[in-house]
Amino acid sequence: MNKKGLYFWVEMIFLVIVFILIFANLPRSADNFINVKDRNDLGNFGFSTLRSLDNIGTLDNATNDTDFSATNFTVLSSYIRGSFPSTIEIDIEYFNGTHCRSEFGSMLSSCGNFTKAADTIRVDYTMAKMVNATTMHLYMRRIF
Amino acid sequence: MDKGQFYLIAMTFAAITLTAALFFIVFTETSAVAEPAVPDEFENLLNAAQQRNDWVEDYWFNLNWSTRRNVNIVGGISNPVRIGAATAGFDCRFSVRVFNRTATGAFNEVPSNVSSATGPCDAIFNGTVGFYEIYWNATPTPTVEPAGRDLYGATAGLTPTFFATTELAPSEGLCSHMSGALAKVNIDLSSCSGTGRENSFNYTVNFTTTDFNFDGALP
Repeated sequence: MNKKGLYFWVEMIFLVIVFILIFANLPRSADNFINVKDRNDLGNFGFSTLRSLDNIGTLDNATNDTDFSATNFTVLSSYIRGSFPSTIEIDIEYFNGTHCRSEFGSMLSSCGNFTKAADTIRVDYTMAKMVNATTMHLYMRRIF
Repeated sequence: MDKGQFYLIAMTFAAITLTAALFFIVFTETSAVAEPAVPDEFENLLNAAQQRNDWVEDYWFNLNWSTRRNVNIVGGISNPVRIGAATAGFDCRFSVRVFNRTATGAFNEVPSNVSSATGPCDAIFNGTVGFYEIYWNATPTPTVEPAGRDLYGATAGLTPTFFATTELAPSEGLCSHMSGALAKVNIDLSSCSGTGRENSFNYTVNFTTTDFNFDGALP
């Protein structure tokens, strides 16, 4: 068996470094582009879905015009969740200008205070068809 | 050095060149995605203003009327019916108006009289079982007696069985709410106002981010 020379090991080290650099950069390049585009698309999808529900009167019918706390949150939640495919995980919160309510109407001590995956995005949709406007925080994430 | 070593060195340089090229592609693609665009928050504000105006048009007959009483007559009708409307200090003769809603939600005015020229007064009209909205205001609108009304101070009319709630005209409602919501995402809504017209609000805003500014009336 031949003994390996110095140049051989120098070349091997170079090769290892080069492969590390390639693997560090190749996926990053693709991920950056796809992730940013995907987040934008997901956000646009969320907003346009909520706007469609608003335009056809679904949000309006499910909420209480004069007292948002009297809204049937279970019905509202089912309309919203039913509008998204099962491949998108969502969480819902309502912000009245000072405080947040949970998806089912209970008051929260702070907004967005729950465990979220790093790739979760937030879409804000203001429901203005009521005496006091309320903004919905829709947290969205793709799952496969 | 033999041929194999040159081959490896050449491959190494080629790989380094490729890696460097990919390194720059990262920045090229990211900057391409991050082109300046109308912020999502502004789209939301714009949409909210439009949605609110759509709602006001259906919800309140005319923003010039400050108060209304939502009446649900459930029985005991002997026409004309007589139901309490404007309270003390309000104009009755010129501003009290009675409407019922059609099946499509449209306002349908009901000819009515009032029991006195100024509040407190009752609205007197021919009614059936169903929902009515009685509007009034401190400032007479219109300033001439509405069609279908030719007397006041009438004592005729019996009070039917009904349920009623009184409410004030909706405010523009968006500016303070959006200021608070946008402040949480570090966006400055430095000015915002909504002026009531007949059945909509004319919103004027100054919305500023680091690469976007809108200063004017929302369509």
